[in-house]
Amino acid sequence: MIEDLKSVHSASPAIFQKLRAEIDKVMVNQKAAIEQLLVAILAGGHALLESNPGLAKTLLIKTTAMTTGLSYSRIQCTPDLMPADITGTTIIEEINGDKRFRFEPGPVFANIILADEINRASPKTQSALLEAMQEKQVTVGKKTYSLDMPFFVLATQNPIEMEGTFPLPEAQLDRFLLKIFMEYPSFEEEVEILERYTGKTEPTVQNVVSKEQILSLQQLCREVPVADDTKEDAVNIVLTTRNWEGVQYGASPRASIGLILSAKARAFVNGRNYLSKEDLHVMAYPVLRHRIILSFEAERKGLTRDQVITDILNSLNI
Amino acid sequence: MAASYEFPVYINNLNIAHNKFKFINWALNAAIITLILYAIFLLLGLPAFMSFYWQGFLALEYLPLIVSLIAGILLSTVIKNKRKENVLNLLTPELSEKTKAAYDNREIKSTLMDSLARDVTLALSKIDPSAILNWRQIRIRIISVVLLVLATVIIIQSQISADITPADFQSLSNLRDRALSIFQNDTQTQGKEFNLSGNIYGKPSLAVLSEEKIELMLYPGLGAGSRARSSEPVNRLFQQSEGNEVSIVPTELYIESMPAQNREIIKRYFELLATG
Repeated sequence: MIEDLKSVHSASPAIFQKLRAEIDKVMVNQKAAIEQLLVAILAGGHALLESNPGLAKTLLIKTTAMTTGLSYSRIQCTPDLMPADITGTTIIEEINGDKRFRFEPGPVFANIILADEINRASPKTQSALLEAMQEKQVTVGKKTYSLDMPFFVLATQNPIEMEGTFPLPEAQLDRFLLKIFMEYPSFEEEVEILERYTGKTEPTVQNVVSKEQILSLQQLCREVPVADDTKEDAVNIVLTTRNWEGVQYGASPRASIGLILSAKARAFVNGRNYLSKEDLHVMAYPVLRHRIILSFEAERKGLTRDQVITDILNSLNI
Repeated sequence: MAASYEFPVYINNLNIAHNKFKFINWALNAAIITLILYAIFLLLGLPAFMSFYWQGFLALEYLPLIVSLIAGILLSTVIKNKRKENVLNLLTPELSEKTKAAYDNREIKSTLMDSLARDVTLALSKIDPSAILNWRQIRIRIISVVLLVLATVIIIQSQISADITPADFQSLSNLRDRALSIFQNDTQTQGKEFNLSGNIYGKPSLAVLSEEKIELMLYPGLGAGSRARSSEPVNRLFQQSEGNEVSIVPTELYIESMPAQNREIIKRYFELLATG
């Protein structure tokens, strides 16, 4: 196994380069979002993508799934979506006149799950995803089914059209390792998008990394050495969110774990064999922005969560 | 699995060089603080005061110097302990982060750690330990020490302490008298009885002359006898007085103290001495 890891490690820069090149065929810019999505996959966490409609959230997740050769399923969340529609259900099957129950797995039984517009699903259905996301298993009736590894839930939501939606509860938000923002493209980028998507053919991608390689990369990612003072910095960032003026509720210890794991993954994706403070700085935003709740005064002043995180990082000189 | 990497040896070499550097820094800081304090004491005239009153008591005579030295050592140690400088912080930011990560995980054997250890070993092997130390800091301190030594010597030579006015010692002098009165109670009692104390530097006493109060106390460094000053020879005019006739008047007391059989011999000796 060690030899396998060594060969995967030596091949990792080429793997990431190929992955990025494939995704870049479909996505125009959005470098930060692509990097953060890869980080979520390598750290074995779930990601919530948020942007205005039409900014290729779904396309990014679909493309990532296609390039990694992992099984992929999509759940289009609507208010009438039931938990069994996600987890699967037990059906009666008749074979040669003999009737028996059989479990029909739902879309959650895949490596990459795209939960599109997750905030449109009812709280009951959202909760069904909770066990799957946290425990990596599904319980139907009295039986528990383990999910295939690797397992990621990549959910999307848009911040507008809040009518008829069910905002995710804090407990469920905390289960997402990262909350990724996607920005509007620049003028040049939008022209490039037109070039790519209004011609005769649309760009296609191919699988450049195997499932085994993904699992090895995940294992390598956890091996990234971290200096003690960098760990302390991560904890300090999270602790500061709990005592910061303008923050009503700070981040949980799960945020500390998430910060180090995602920073490790970022270091690894960028070809480094150690965690740098820059990784902490960059990953603090997607790790913390959905884990802190601003006070009414802060919101009234027009402060955003990212601004608060910037202030915290500046105060800690990270 | 316990790991054995090569890079801790290089870190150890860096540490040894850094510790030597810190010791030199500490010693120079101690010297600077000692010299500054001693120079201040000299300007206040404390060494002159102490050596005047406590001559012979080495610990007290050199108290200002001893205090300066102890304060210098203590303050320098405090500064050293306050600046908990890690040798790894002296490396370039990237190498510093790498080396810290490697050092903190030196017990771990893994693919990533092997790779990091190789990188760190290669980078550290190219570093000369003395090159990362801030020798400019040491040079500045050495120059400061030399300048302070010169300044101290100049202060001593310029007899600045001799220009201190007696009033500067007033409070110290009072303190000393109080200490003496506590420790030398018996001696003082005997001194009063037989007038043997010989203490002309007693508590201030006043004399009234033409309705003017004049302080009679003598302070060290007040005038003649305290410190010799070089001066031009002065030609003074002396008036020759006429010689008076010598008459020998034996004192009763003196004669009486002599043995009776020798009185005549001694008397004749002095008569001969006077006439011859």
